Amino acid sequence: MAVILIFETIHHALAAEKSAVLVAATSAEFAAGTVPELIPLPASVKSDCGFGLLVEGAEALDDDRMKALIQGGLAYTAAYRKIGEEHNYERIG
Amino acid sequence: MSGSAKQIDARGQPCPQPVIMTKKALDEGGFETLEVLVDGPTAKENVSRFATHAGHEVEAIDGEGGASTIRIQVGKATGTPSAAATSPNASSRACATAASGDASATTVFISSDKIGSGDDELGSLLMRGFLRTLAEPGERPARIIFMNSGVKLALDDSTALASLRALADVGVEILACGTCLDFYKVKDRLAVGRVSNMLEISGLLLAGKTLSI
Repeated sequence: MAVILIFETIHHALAAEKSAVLVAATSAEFAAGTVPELIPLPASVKSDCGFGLLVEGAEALDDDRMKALIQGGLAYTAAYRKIGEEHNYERIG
Repeated sequence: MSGSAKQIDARGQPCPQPVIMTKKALDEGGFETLEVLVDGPTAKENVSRFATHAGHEVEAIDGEGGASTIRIQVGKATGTPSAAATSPNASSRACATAASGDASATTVFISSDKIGSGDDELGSLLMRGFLRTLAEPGERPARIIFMNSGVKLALDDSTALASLRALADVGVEILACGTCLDFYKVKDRLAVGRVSNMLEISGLLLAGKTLSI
């Protein structure tokens, strides 16, 4: 499952990406080669900064683990599950 | 033809090769008249426009089945550009655009590894996002040309590499300036696309619709 995390500002999003890349690289919960990354968001996903953090292979992560992915006290404001290949997203948190 | 004439056969060549072949021949010189054989109206128009803009006298002679011979008198322009060169629609009739009229005919020219000036981190993110968006299903350009620090986007450690590979996989041509790769000493690290040069790049930029980033 691919999850997209939304942050309050682009600065938070950039910091979260750096944190998540480090965590994913050292965590057994992520498949080798999984690299969280910021992606442009479609208009259907409400976000002031226009980018969200895409985390592939996040099916094993509950909310607490997802938060732990983002170190440094940064909290995401919303989470979406990506459905299919198109720009279809379902809010899950 | 006389000894001061040269003929090149651009029939069957995909756009913008006829223009590139014409430019190469004119650059090499050694003749007074250059005849370019083409097999379609788009190539005829593009070669004629290019030669006219370059200051030569141009005469297009239509043959059978859409074929034409474009006779270029080197350096003999009268100062009155041809209709093809002055038409307000000239640029929109460039080869690729004329072929389809959509984004798949567009060349994207990227001369930096960041979008805009200001904060480097933001500029990098915007470039990464742009290339990722290009790689998504929908309209895509015919090619992407990288110059100067833009070539770094096509290297083995680029955060945009996956997007560029996805674009290459669906037929988008990826070209990186060889001079620039050499300058940054990264020629052996090009991970997608191929090395190009100024001659080819300038020909491609002149021949069709270009989006400069």
